[in-house]
Amino acid sequence: MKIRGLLCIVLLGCSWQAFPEAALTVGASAESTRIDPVSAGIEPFLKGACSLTAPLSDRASALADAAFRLGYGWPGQGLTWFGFAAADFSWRAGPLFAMLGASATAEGDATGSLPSFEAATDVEVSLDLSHLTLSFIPAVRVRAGDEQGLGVDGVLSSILAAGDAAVARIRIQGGLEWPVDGLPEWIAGAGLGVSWYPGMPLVASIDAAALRRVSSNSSVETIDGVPITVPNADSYMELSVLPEISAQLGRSLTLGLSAPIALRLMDHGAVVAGVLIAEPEWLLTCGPMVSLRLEASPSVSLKATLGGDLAFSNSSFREKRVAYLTLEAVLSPAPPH
Amino acid sequence: MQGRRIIVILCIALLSAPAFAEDADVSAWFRADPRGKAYRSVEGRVTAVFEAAKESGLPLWILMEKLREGAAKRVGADRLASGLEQESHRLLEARDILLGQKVPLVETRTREEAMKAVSIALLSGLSPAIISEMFSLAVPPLRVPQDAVAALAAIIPVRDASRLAEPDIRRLGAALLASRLPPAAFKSVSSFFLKARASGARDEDVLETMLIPSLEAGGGLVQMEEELRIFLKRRGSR
Repeated sequence: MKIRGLLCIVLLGCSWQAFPEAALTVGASAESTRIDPVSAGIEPFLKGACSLTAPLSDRASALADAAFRLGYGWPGQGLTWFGFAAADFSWRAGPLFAMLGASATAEGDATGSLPSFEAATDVEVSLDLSHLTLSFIPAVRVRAGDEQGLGVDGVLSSILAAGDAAVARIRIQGGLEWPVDGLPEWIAGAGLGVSWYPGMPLVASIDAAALRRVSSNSSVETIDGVPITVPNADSYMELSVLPEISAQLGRSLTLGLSAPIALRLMDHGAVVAGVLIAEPEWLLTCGPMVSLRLEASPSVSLKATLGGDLAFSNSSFREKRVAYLTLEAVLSPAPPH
Repeated sequence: MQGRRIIVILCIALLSAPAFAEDADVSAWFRADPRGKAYRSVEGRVTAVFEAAKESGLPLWILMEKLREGAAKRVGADRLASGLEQESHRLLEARDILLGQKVPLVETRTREEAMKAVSIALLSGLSPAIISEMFSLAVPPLRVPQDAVAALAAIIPVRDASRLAEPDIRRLGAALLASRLPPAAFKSVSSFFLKARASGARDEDVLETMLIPSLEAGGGLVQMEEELRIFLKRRGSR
Protein backbone atom coordinates (compact mmCIF):
# COMPACT_ATOMS: atom_id res chain seq x y z
CA MET A 1 0.00 0.00 0.00
CA LYS A 2 2.82 2.33 0.96
CA ILE A 3 4.69 1.48 -2.23
CA ARG A 4 1.58 2.15 -4.31
CA GLY A 5 1.13 5.52 -2.59
CA LEU A 6 4.75 6.44 -3.20
CA LEU A 7 4.47 5.44 -6.87
CA CYS A 8 1.38 7.65 -7.25
CA ILE A 9 3.28 10.59 -5.78
CA VAL A 10 6.21 10.01 -8.16
CA LEU A 11 3.89 9.73 -11.17
CA LEU A 12 2.00 12.85 -10.12
CA GLY A 13 5.31 14.64 -9.72
CA CYS A 14 6.37 13.57 -13.21
CA SER A 15 3.11 14.52 -14.88
CA TRP A 16 3.04 17.84 -13.08
CA GLN A 17 6.41 18.84 -14.49
CA ALA A 18 6.20 17.03 -17.82
CA PHE A 19 6.60 18.88 -21.11
CA PRO A 20 4.46 17.11 -23.71
CA GLU A 21 4.94 17.53 -27.42
CA ALA A 22 2.57 16.07 -29.97
CA ALA A 23 2.07 16.15 -33.70
CA LEU A 24 -0.67 14.76 -35.87
CA THR A 25 -0.11 14.44 -39.60
CA VAL A 26 -2.80 13.91 -42.19
CA GLY A 27 -1.71 13.32 -45.74
CA ALA A 28 -1.86 11.35 -48.93
CA SER A 29 0.80 9.93 -51.14
CA ALA A 30 0.38 9.19 -54.82
CA GLU A 31 2.75 6.74 -56.44
CA SER A 32 3.24 5.91 -60.07
CA THR A 33 5.31 3.09 -61.50
CA ARG A 34 5.24 0.99 -64.64
CA ILE A 35 7.54 -1.78 -63.46
CA ASP A 36 5.70 -2.64 -60.21
CA PRO A 37 2.00 -1.85 -60.77
CA VAL A 38 1.00 -3.32 -57.37
CA SER A 39 2.64 -0.48 -55.48
CA ALA A 40 1.12 2.17 -57.74
CA GLY A 41 -1.84 4.07 -56.40
CA ILE A 42 -2.89 6.46 -53.70
CA GLU A 43 -2.32 6.03 -50.00
CA PRO A 44 -4.09 8.34 -47.58
CA PHE A 45 -2.45 8.16 -44.18
CA LEU A 46 -2.75 9.38 -40.65
CA LYS A 47 0.21 9.45 -38.34
CA GLY A 48 0.77 10.82 -34.91
CA ALA A 49 3.56 11.14 -32.40
CA CYS A 50 3.79 12.25 -28.82
CA SER A 51 6.81 12.93 -26.64
CA LEU A 52 6.82 13.53 -22.95
CA THR A 53 9.84 14.94 -21.15
CA ALA A 54 9.77 15.05 -17.37
CA PRO A 55 12.73 16.70 -15.67
CA LEU A 56 13.62 14.71 -12.56
CA SER A 57 16.46 16.96 -11.47
CA ASP A 58 18.91 19.45 -12.97
CA ARG A 59 20.79 16.56 -14.52
CA ALA A 60 18.23 13.82 -15.12
CA SER A 61 15.10 13.53 -17.24
CA ALA A 62 12.56 10.85 -17.99
CA LEU A 63 11.47 10.62 -21.61
CA ALA A 64 8.59 8.80 -23.22
CA ASP A 65 7.80 8.61 -26.94
CA ALA A 66 4.94 7.02 -28.80
CA ALA A 67 4.06 7.06 -32.47
CA PHE A 68 1.69 5.39 -34.89
CA ARG A 69 0.93 5.35 -38.60
CA LEU A 70 -2.12 4.05 -40.38
CA GLY A 71 -2.34 3.99 -44.13
CA TYR A 72 -4.55 2.53 -46.80
CA GLY A 73 -2.93 1.84 -50.16
CA TRP A 74 -5.48 1.79 -52.94
CA PRO A 75 -5.95 -0.19 -55.11
CA GLY A 76 -3.18 -2.69 -54.36
CA GLN A 77 -1.72 -2.63 -50.87
CA GLY A 78 -4.63 -2.26 -48.47
CA LEU A 79 -4.22 -1.42 -44.81
CA THR A 80 -0.71 -0.79 -43.43
CA TRP A 81 0.04 -0.01 -39.81
CA PHE A 82 2.96 0.85 -37.60
CA GLY A 83 3.33 1.51 -33.89
CA PHE A 84 6.24 2.55 -31.72
CA ALA A 85 6.77 3.22 -28.03
CA ALA A 86 9.90 4.06 -26.07
CA ALA A 87 10.73 5.00 -22.52
CA ASP A 88 14.12 6.40 -21.58
CA PHE A 89 15.94 7.91 -18.71
CA SER A 90 18.66 10.43 -19.54
CA TRP A 91 21.37 11.86 -17.35
CA ARG A 92 23.79 14.65 -18.12
CA ALA A 93 26.69 15.76 -15.96
CA GLY A 94 29.30 18.05 -17.45
CA PRO A 95 30.73 16.45 -20.57
CA LEU A 96 28.97 13.13 -19.95
CA PHE A 97 25.56 12.20 -21.32
CA ALA A 98 23.92 8.85 -20.76
CA MET A 99 20.62 7.40 -21.85
CA LEU A 100 19.09 4.14 -20.76
CA GLY A 101 15.78 2.73 -21.85
CA ALA A 102 13.90 0.44 -24.17
CA SER A 103 11.74 0.66 -27.25
CA ALA A 104 9.25 -1.55 -29.06
CA THR A 105 8.11 -1.46 -32.68
CA ALA A 106 5.34 -3.33 -34.41
CA GLU A 107 4.26 -3.17 -38.04
CA GLY A 108 2.13 -5.05 -40.44
CA ASP A 109 -0.06 -4.88 -43.51
CA ALA A 110 -3.02 -6.59 -45.07
CA THR A 111 -1.00 -8.95 -47.25
CA GLY A 112 -1.54 -11.84 -44.89
CA SER A 113 2.06 -12.23 -43.73
CA LEU A 114 2.73 -12.13 -39.99
CA PRO A 115 3.20 -8.72 -38.42
CA SER A 116 6.75 -8.06 -37.25
CA PHE A 117 7.69 -7.00 -33.74
CA GLU A 118 10.97 -5.73 -32.42
CA ALA A 119 11.97 -4.84 -28.88
CA ALA A 120 15.32 -3.20 -28.30
CA THR A 121 17.36 -1.65 -25.56
CA ASP A 122 17.99 2.08 -25.93
CA VAL A 123 21.40 2.80 -24.48
CA GLU A 124 23.75 5.61 -25.29
CA VAL A 125 26.83 7.10 -23.67
CA SER A 126 28.31 10.33 -25.02
CA LEU A 127 31.37 12.28 -24.02
CA ASP A 128 31.70 15.92 -25.03
CA LEU A 129 35.33 16.94 -25.49
CA SER A 130 34.74 20.50 -26.72
CA HIS A 131 35.85 20.15 -30.35
CA LEU A 132 34.85 16.50 -30.44
CA THR A 133 32.03 14.37 -29.11
CA LEU A 134 32.21 10.61 -28.87
CA SER A 135 29.14 8.42 -28.61
CA PHE A 136 28.75 4.71 -28.04
CA ILE A 137 25.34 3.26 -28.79
CA PRO A 138 25.03 -0.48 -28.08
CA ALA A 139 21.74 -2.32 -28.54
CA VAL A 140 20.22 -5.73 -27.97
CA ARG A 141 17.27 -6.54 -30.22
CA VAL A 142 14.66 -9.26 -30.08
CA ARG A 143 12.53 -9.87 -33.16
CA ALA A 144 9.31 -11.82 -33.34
CA GLY A 145 6.61 -12.40 -35.91
CA ASP A 146 7.59 -12.53 -39.54
CA GLU A 147 11.33 -12.57 -38.79
CA GLN A 148 12.38 -14.14 -35.51
CA GLY A 149 15.77 -13.76 -33.94
CA LEU A 150 18.13 -11.99 -31.62
CA GLY A 151 20.65 -9.28 -32.45
CA VAL A 152 23.46 -7.37 -30.78
CA ASP A 153 24.93 -4.31 -32.41
CA GLY A 154 26.85 -1.18 -31.59
CA VAL A 155 27.69 2.16 -33.14
CA LEU A 156 30.68 4.26 -32.22
CA SER A 157 30.22 7.74 -33.60
CA SER A 158 32.13 10.95 -33.39
CA ILE A 159 31.34 14.52 -34.38
CA LEU A 160 34.28 16.87 -34.73
CA ALA A 161 34.82 20.46 -35.79
CA ALA A 162 36.16 21.05 -39.28
CA GLY A 163 36.91 24.76 -39.28
CA ASP A 164 34.48 27.48 -38.20
CA ALA A 165 31.65 26.51 -40.53
CA ALA A 166 31.72 22.74 -40.87
CA VAL A 167 31.54 19.58 -38.83
CA ALA A 168 32.55 16.06 -39.75
CA ARG A 169 30.94 12.86 -38.54
CA ILE A 170 32.69 9.52 -38.37
CA ARG A 171 30.77 6.34 -37.64
CA ILE A 172 31.86 2.75 -37.09
CA GLN A 173 29.26 0.08 -36.58
CA GLY A 174 29.14 -3.62 -36.11
CA GLY A 175 26.70 -6.30 -35.04
CA LEU A 176 25.68 -9.91 -34.91
CA GLU A 177 22.30 -11.46 -35.58
CA TRP A 178 21.01 -14.92 -34.78
CA PRO A 179 17.88 -15.83 -36.74
CA VAL A 180 15.81 -18.51 -35.04
CA ASP A 181 15.90 -20.71 -38.09
CA GLY A 182 19.43 -20.05 -39.31
CA LEU A 183 23.07 -19.40 -38.63
CA PRO A 184 24.54 -16.11 -37.33
CA GLU A 185 25.10 -13.14 -39.59
CA TRP A 186 27.43 -10.26 -38.98
CA ILE A 187 27.39 -6.72 -40.15
CA ALA A 188 30.17 -4.11 -40.13
CA GLY A 189 30.42 -0.68 -41.58
CA ALA A 190 31.94 2.75 -41.47
CA GLY A 191 30.66 6.14 -42.51
CA LEU A 192 31.92 9.64 -42.99
CA GLY A 193 29.81 12.75 -43.25
CA VAL A 194 30.42 16.47 -43.56
CA SER A 195 27.93 19.26 -42.92
CA TRP A 196 28.71 22.76 -44.12
CA TYR A 197 27.04 25.81 -42.63
CA PRO A 198 27.97 28.77 -44.82
CA GLY A 199 25.32 31.01 -43.23
CA MET A 200 21.68 31.69 -43.96
CA PRO A 201 19.91 30.71 -46.10
CA LEU A 202 21.89 27.59 -46.94
CA VAL A 203 22.98 24.30 -45.39
CA ALA A 204 24.66 21.51 -47.27
CA SER A 205 25.71 18.10 -46.07
CA ILE A 206 27.03 14.94 -47.57
CA ASP A 207 27.29 11.51 -45.99
CA ALA A 208 29.19 8.56 -47.35
CA ALA A 209 29.09 5.09 -45.86
CA ALA A 210 30.33 1.63 -46.57
CA LEU A 211 28.54 -1.34 -45.06
CA ARG A 212 29.38 -5.02 -45.22
CA ARG A 213 26.88 -7.66 -44.26
CA VAL A 214 27.81 -11.29 -44.32
CA SER A 215 25.43 -14.11 -43.74
CA SER A 216 26.56 -17.59 -42.81
CA ASN A 217 23.12 -18.77 -43.76
CA SER A 218 23.01 -21.05 -46.69
CA SER A 219 20.91 -23.83 -48.00
CA VAL A 220 22.01 -27.02 -49.66
CA GLU A 221 20.08 -28.10 -52.68
CA THR A 222 20.60 -31.21 -54.66
CA ILE A 223 20.23 -30.98 -58.40
CA ASP A 224 20.74 -34.11 -60.47
CA GLY A 225 22.35 -35.72 -57.44
CA VAL A 226 24.94 -32.91 -57.08
CA PRO A 227 24.83 -30.99 -53.75
CA ILE A 228 24.78 -27.23 -54.33
CA THR A 229 25.32 -24.76 -51.49
CA VAL A 230 23.40 -21.54 -52.06
CA PRO A 231 24.57 -18.66 -49.82
CA ASN A 232 22.00 -16.29 -48.38
CA ALA A 233 21.35 -13.36 -50.68
CA ASP A 234 21.61 -10.99 -47.71
CA SER A 235 25.39 -10.91 -47.99
CA TYR A 236 26.34 -7.60 -49.47
CA MET A 237 28.68 -4.63 -49.55
CA GLU A 238 26.99 -1.23 -49.73
CA LEU A 239 28.46 2.16 -50.56
CA SER A 240 26.17 5.11 -50.09
CA VAL A 241 26.26 8.87 -50.51
CA LEU A 242 23.63 11.28 -49.21
CA PRO A 243 23.90 14.88 -50.42
CA GLU A 244 21.39 17.27 -48.86
CA ILE A 245 20.70 20.98 -49.28
CA SER A 246 18.24 23.11 -47.31
CA ALA A 247 17.44 26.69 -48.14
CA GLN A 248 15.17 29.19 -46.42
CA LEU A 249 12.95 31.05 -48.86
CA GLY A 250 11.47 33.71 -46.64
CA ARG A 251 10.00 33.49 -43.15
CA SER A 252 7.69 30.55 -43.70
CA LEU A 253 8.99 28.58 -46.67
CA THR A 254 11.77 26.01 -46.54
CA LEU A 255 13.13 24.18 -49.56
CA GLY A 256 14.83 20.83 -49.16
CA LEU A 257 16.73 18.85 -51.77
CA SER A 258 18.27 15.45 -51.27
CA ALA A 259 19.39 12.57 -53.42
CA PRO A 260 20.55 9.46 -51.56
CA ILE A 261 22.54 7.18 -53.85
CA ALA A 262 23.59 3.66 -52.89
CA LEU A 263 25.48 0.92 -54.69
CA ARG A 264 24.98 -2.56 -53.31
CA LEU A 265 27.17 -5.44 -54.45
CA MET A 266 25.65 -8.78 -53.56
CA ASP A 267 27.42 -12.07 -53.19
CA HIS A 268 25.35 -14.59 -55.01
CA GLY A 269 26.69 -17.79 -56.24
CA ALA A 270 26.69 -21.43 -55.51
CA VAL A 271 29.17 -24.03 -54.41
CA VAL A 272 28.86 -26.90 -56.81
CA ALA A 273 30.91 -29.97 -56.00
CA GLY A 274 33.20 -27.85 -53.81
CA VAL A 275 33.77 -25.19 -56.48
CA LEU A 276 32.34 -21.68 -56.03
CA ILE A 277 30.57 -20.41 -59.08
CA ALA A 278 30.28 -16.70 -58.53
CA GLU A 279 27.22 -14.85 -59.66
CA PRO A 280 27.69 -11.23 -58.66
CA GLU A 281 24.79 -8.85 -58.68
CA TRP A 282 24.84 -5.09 -58.44
CA LEU A 283 22.04 -2.77 -57.47
CA LEU A 284 22.21 1.00 -57.83
CA THR A 285 19.45 2.94 -56.06
CA CYS A 286 18.73 6.63 -56.11
CA GLY A 287 15.97 8.58 -54.35
CA PRO A 288 15.99 12.20 -55.52
CA MET A 289 13.55 14.31 -53.55
CA VAL A 290 12.49 17.92 -53.44
CA SER A 291 10.28 19.20 -50.65
CA LEU A 292 8.62 22.48 -49.81
CA ARG A 293 7.50 23.14 -46.25
CA LEU A 294 5.21 26.03 -45.50
CA GLU A 295 4.53 27.10 -41.94
CA ALA A 296 0.97 28.31 -42.14
CA SER A 297 0.91 29.14 -38.43
CA PRO A 298 3.02 28.24 -35.38
CA SER A 299 1.07 24.99 -35.00
CA VAL A 300 0.18 24.09 -38.59
CA SER A 301 2.59 23.35 -41.40
CA LEU A 302 1.99 22.05 -44.90
CA LYS A 303 4.51 19.95 -46.73
CA ALA A 304 4.69 18.81 -50.32
CA THR A 305 7.26 16.26 -51.40
CA LEU A 306 8.00 15.23 -54.95
CA GLY A 307 10.42 12.40 -55.38
CA GLY A 308 11.37 9.20 -57.02
CA ASP A 309 12.74 5.78 -56.09
CA LEU A 310 14.88 4.42 -58.84
CA ALA A 311 16.71 1.13 -58.88
CA PHE A 312 18.96 -0.24 -61.62
CA SER A 313 20.36 -3.71 -61.50
CA ASN A 314 21.75 -6.50 -63.64
CA SER A 315 18.86 -8.52 -62.26
CA SER A 316 15.68 -7.32 -63.89
CA PHE A 317 13.37 -8.25 -60.97
CA ARG A 318 15.11 -5.73 -58.71
CA GLU A 319 14.66 -2.82 -61.10
CA LYS A 320 12.28 -0.13 -59.97
CA ARG A 321 11.06 3.23 -61.24
CA VAL A 322 8.69 4.96 -58.88
CA ALA A 323 7.60 8.58 -58.85
CA TYR A 324 5.65 9.88 -55.90
CA LEU A 325 3.99 13.02 -54.64
CA THR A 326 3.11 13.37 -50.97
CA LEU A 327 1.03 16.15 -49.49
CA GLU A 328 0.71 16.42 -45.73
CA ALA A 329 -0.59 18.76 -43.10
CA VAL A 330 1.14 18.63 -39.74
CA LEU A 331 -0.72 19.83 -36.66
CA SER A 332 1.52 20.38 -33.68
CA PRO A 333 0.14 22.50 -30.85
CA ALA A 334 2.81 24.42 -28.97
CA PRO A 335 3.96 22.63 -25.82
CA PRO A 336 3.06 24.35 -22.55
CA HIS A 337 6.57 25.45 -21.58
CA MET B 1 66.09 58.00 -48.48
CA GLN B 2 63.89 60.54 -46.69
CA GLY B 3 63.16 62.33 -49.98
CA ARG B 4 62.16 59.08 -51.70
CA ARG B 5 59.73 58.30 -48.88
CA ILE B 6 58.13 61.75 -49.21
CA ILE B 7 57.73 61.24 -52.97
CA VAL B 8 56.02 57.88 -52.39
CA ILE B 9 53.64 59.41 -49.82
CA LEU B 10 52.83 62.30 -52.15
CA CYS B 11 52.15 59.91 -55.05
CA ILE B 12 49.77 57.89 -52.87
CA ALA B 13 48.03 61.06 -51.72
CA LEU B 14 47.69 62.35 -55.30
CA LEU B 15 46.33 59.02 -56.54
CA SER B 16 43.86 58.64 -53.71
CA ALA B 17 42.66 62.26 -53.66
CA PRO B 18 40.33 61.94 -56.66
CA ALA B 19 38.79 58.81 -55.19
CA PHE B 20 37.96 60.55 -51.89
CA ALA B 21 36.68 63.59 -53.79
CA GLU B 22 34.45 61.36 -55.90
CA ASP B 23 33.19 59.56 -52.81
CA ALA B 24 32.14 62.80 -51.15
CA ASP B 25 31.13 65.01 -54.07
CA VAL B 26 27.55 64.26 -54.94
CA SER B 27 27.34 67.18 -57.42
CA ALA B 28 30.21 65.66 -59.39
CA TRP B 29 28.29 62.35 -59.52
CA PHE B 30 25.24 64.09 -61.00
CA ARG B 31 27.46 65.76 -63.62
CA ALA B 32 29.81 62.89 -64.45
CA ASP B 33 27.83 59.67 -64.03
CA PRO B 34 25.61 58.89 -67.04
CA ARG B 35 22.97 57.48 -64.65
CA GLY B 36 22.89 60.78 -62.75
CA LYS B 37 20.84 62.45 -65.51
CA ALA B 38 17.79 60.34 -64.63
CA TYR B 39 17.82 61.79 -61.10
CA ARG B 40 18.28 65.51 -61.89
CA SER B 41 14.74 66.16 -60.63
CA VAL B 42 15.77 65.21 -57.08
CA GLU B 43 19.31 66.62 -57.16
CA GLY B 44 18.35 69.35 -54.69
CA ARG B 45 16.92 66.86 -52.17
CA VAL B 46 19.86 64.52 -52.55
CA THR B 47 22.41 67.32 -52.20
CA ALA B 48 20.59 68.55 -49.08
CA VAL B 49 20.84 65.05 -47.56
CA PHE B 50 24.59 64.98 -48.23
CA GLU B 51 25.14 68.49 -46.87
CA ALA B 52 23.18 67.75 -43.68
CA ALA B 53 25.08 64.49 -43.29
CA LYS B 54 28.41 66.30 -43.74
CA GLU B 55 27.45 68.85 -41.08
CA SER B 56 26.49 66.00 -38.72
CA GLY B 57 29.79 64.26 -39.36
CA LEU B 58 28.21 61.17 -40.94
CA PRO B 59 30.33 59.07 -43.32
CA LEU B 60 29.33 60.24 -46.78
CA TRP B 61 30.68 57.14 -48.52
CA ILE B 62 27.82 55.09 -47.10
CA LEU B 63 25.29 57.50 -48.62
CA MET B 64 27.27 57.51 -51.88
CA GLU B 65 27.15 53.72 -51.96
CA LYS B 66 23.41 53.88 -51.44
CA LEU B 67 23.06 56.46 -54.21
CA ARG B 68 25.03 54.32 -56.66
CA GLU B 69 23.15 51.18 -55.64
CA GLY B 70 19.79 52.86 -56.20
CA ALA B 71 20.85 54.25 -59.57
CA ALA B 72 22.24 50.87 -60.66
CA LYS B 73 18.90 49.28 -59.74
CA ARG B 74 17.10 52.06 -61.66
CA VAL B 75 14.77 52.90 -58.78
CA GLY B 76 12.47 55.90 -59.19
CA ALA B 77 13.85 59.35 -58.41
CA ASP B 78 11.51 60.01 -55.49
CA ARG B 79 12.20 56.60 -54.01
CA LEU B 80 15.94 57.15 -54.30
CA ALA B 81 15.76 60.55 -52.57
CA SER B 82 13.54 59.29 -49.75
CA GLY B 83 15.73 56.18 -49.41
CA LEU B 84 18.76 58.42 -48.89
CA GLU B 85 16.87 60.56 -46.36
CA GLN B 86 15.92 57.44 -44.40
CA GLU B 87 19.47 56.10 -44.59
CA SER B 88 20.72 59.40 -43.23
CA HIS B 89 18.27 59.20 -40.30
CA ARG B 90 19.33 55.63 -39.58
CA LEU B 91 23.00 56.61 -39.66
CA LEU B 92 22.29 59.34 -37.11
CA GLU B 93 20.55 56.79 -34.91
CA ALA B 94 23.43 54.36 -35.43
CA ARG B 95 25.93 57.03 -34.45
CA ASP B 96 23.97 57.74 -31.26
CA ILE B 97 23.85 54.03 -30.41
CA LEU B 98 27.60 53.69 -30.89
CA LEU B 99 28.38 56.91 -29.00
CA GLY B 100 26.42 55.59 -26.03
CA GLN B 101 28.73 52.60 -25.63
CA LYS B 102 31.31 52.33 -22.87
CA VAL B 103 33.93 50.96 -25.25
CA PRO B 104 34.13 53.36 -28.19
CA LEU B 105 35.17 52.40 -31.69
CA VAL B 106 38.23 54.59 -32.08
CA GLU B 107 39.40 53.72 -35.57
CA THR B 108 37.42 55.74 -38.15
CA ARG B 109 36.88 53.07 -40.78
CA THR B 110 35.86 50.47 -38.17
CA ARG B 111 33.41 52.93 -36.60
CA GLU B 112 31.91 53.78 -39.99
CA GLU B 113 31.59 50.11 -40.94
CA ALA B 114 29.81 49.53 -37.62
CA MET B 115 27.47 52.46 -38.36
CA LYS B 116 26.65 50.88 -41.71
CA ALA B 117 25.94 47.50 -40.03
CA VAL B 118 23.74 49.15 -37.40
CA SER B 119 21.86 51.00 -40.11
CA ILE B 120 21.17 47.69 -41.88
CA ALA B 121 20.01 46.18 -38.57
CA LEU B 122 17.64 49.10 -37.99
CA LEU B 123 16.37 48.79 -41.56
CA SER B 124 15.65 45.09 -40.94
CA GLY B 125 13.45 46.08 -38.01
CA LEU B 126 15.71 45.15 -35.13
CA SER B 127 15.07 47.43 -32.16
CA PRO B 128 17.73 49.96 -31.11
CA ALA B 129 17.65 48.40 -27.61
CA ILE B 130 18.82 45.00 -28.93
CA ILE B 131 21.47 46.56 -31.15
CA SER B 132 22.74 48.64 -28.26
CA GLU B 133 22.82 45.57 -26.01
CA MET B 134 24.91 43.63 -28.55
CA PHE B 135 27.56 46.38 -28.50
CA SER B 136 27.42 46.63 -24.71
CA LEU B 137 28.13 42.87 -24.51
CA ALA B 138 30.93 42.93 -27.06
CA VAL B 139 33.56 44.29 -24.74
CA PRO B 140 37.08 43.22 -23.76
CA PRO B 141 38.56 40.96 -22.60
CA LEU B 142 36.39 38.32 -24.32
CA ARG B 143 35.10 40.41 -27.20
CA VAL B 144 35.72 43.54 -29.23
CA PRO B 145 32.94 45.88 -30.47
CA GLN B 146 33.29 44.58 -34.05
CA ASP B 147 32.04 41.19 -32.80
CA ALA B 148 28.65 42.83 -32.20
CA VAL B 149 28.47 43.46 -35.96
CA ALA B 150 29.00 39.71 -36.57
CA ALA B 151 26.35 38.88 -33.96
CA LEU B 152 23.87 41.23 -35.63
CA ALA B 153 24.60 39.64 -39.01
CA ALA B 154 23.82 36.22 -37.48
CA ILE B 155 20.63 37.05 -35.58
CA ILE B 156 18.93 39.14 -38.27
CA PRO B 157 18.41 36.21 -40.69
CA VAL B 158 17.20 34.00 -37.79
CA ARG B 159 14.68 36.67 -36.83
CA ASP B 160 13.61 37.05 -40.48
CA ALA B 161 13.20 33.31 -41.03
CA SER B 162 11.55 32.36 -37.76
CA ARG B 163 8.67 33.20 -35.52
CA LEU B 164 10.90 33.83 -32.54
CA ALA B 165 9.99 36.83 -30.43
CA GLU B 166 12.40 39.71 -29.91
CA PRO B 167 13.47 38.60 -26.39
CA ASP B 168 14.48 35.22 -27.84
CA ILE B 169 16.47 36.89 -30.61
CA ARG B 170 18.15 39.04 -27.98
CA ARG B 171 19.04 35.93 -25.95
CA LEU B 172 20.55 34.29 -29.02
CA GLY B 173 22.69 37.34 -29.74
CA ALA B 174 23.79 37.53 -26.10
CA ALA B 175 24.61 33.80 -26.08
CA LEU B 176 26.71 34.17 -29.24
CA LEU B 177 28.72 37.01 -27.72
CA ALA B 178 29.17 35.15 -24.44
CA SER B 179 30.26 31.98 -26.25
CA ARG B 180 33.72 30.82 -27.20
CA LEU B 181 32.91 30.98 -30.90
CA PRO B 182 35.03 33.22 -33.11
CA PRO B 183 32.92 35.93 -34.81
CA ALA B 184 33.51 34.28 -38.19
CA ALA B 185 31.51 31.27 -36.93
CA PHE B 186 28.44 33.26 -35.82
CA LYS B 187 26.77 33.05 -39.23
CA SER B 188 27.13 29.25 -39.16
CA VAL B 189 24.82 29.20 -36.13
CA SER B 190 22.06 30.82 -38.18
CA SER B 191 22.71 28.23 -40.89
CA PHE B 192 22.42 25.46 -38.28
CA PHE B 193 19.11 26.96 -37.16
CA LEU B 194 17.83 26.40 -40.69
CA LYS B 195 19.00 22.76 -40.73
CA ALA B 196 17.34 21.96 -37.41
CA ARG B 197 14.18 23.70 -38.56
CA ALA B 198 14.21 21.78 -41.85
CA SER B 199 14.50 18.58 -39.78
CA GLY B 200 11.13 19.39 -38.24
CA ALA B 201 12.17 21.00 -34.97
CA ARG B 202 10.18 23.96 -33.70
CA ASP B 203 11.87 27.35 -33.60
CA GLU B 204 11.61 27.47 -29.80
CA ASP B 205 13.00 23.94 -29.45
CA VAL B 206 15.99 24.72 -31.68
CA LEU B 207 16.72 27.77 -29.55
CA GLU B 208 16.06 26.22 -26.13
CA THR B 209 17.47 22.73 -26.58
CA MET B 210 20.18 23.13 -29.22
CA LEU B 211 21.52 26.66 -29.64
CA ILE B 212 21.41 28.33 -26.22
CA PRO B 213 22.51 25.31 -24.10
CA SER B 214 25.38 24.48 -26.49
CA LEU B 215 26.61 28.07 -26.58
CA GLU B 216 26.24 28.55 -22.83
CA ALA B 217 28.18 25.35 -22.19
CA GLY B 218 31.09 26.73 -24.21
CA GLY B 219 30.31 24.60 -27.25
CA GLY B 220 29.62 25.29 -30.87
CA LEU B 221 28.52 23.47 -34.00
CA VAL B 222 29.78 20.10 -32.70
CA GLN B 223 27.53 20.24 -29.65
CA MET B 224 24.60 21.59 -31.67
CA GLU B 225 24.96 18.70 -34.14
CA GLU B 226 24.97 16.28 -31.21
CA GLU B 227 21.80 17.81 -29.77
CA LEU B 228 20.18 17.59 -33.21
CA ARG B 229 21.23 13.95 -33.51
CA ILE B 230 19.60 13.14 -30.15
CA PHE B 231 16.50 15.06 -31.21
CA LEU B 232 16.28 13.17 -34.51
CA LYS B 233 16.87 9.87 -32.73
CA ARG B 234 13.87 10.52 -30.51
CA ARG B 235 11.86 11.51 -33.55
CA GLY B 236 13.15 8.61 -35.64
CA SER B 237 10.04 6.58 -35.05
CA ARG B 238 7.71 9.17 -36.53
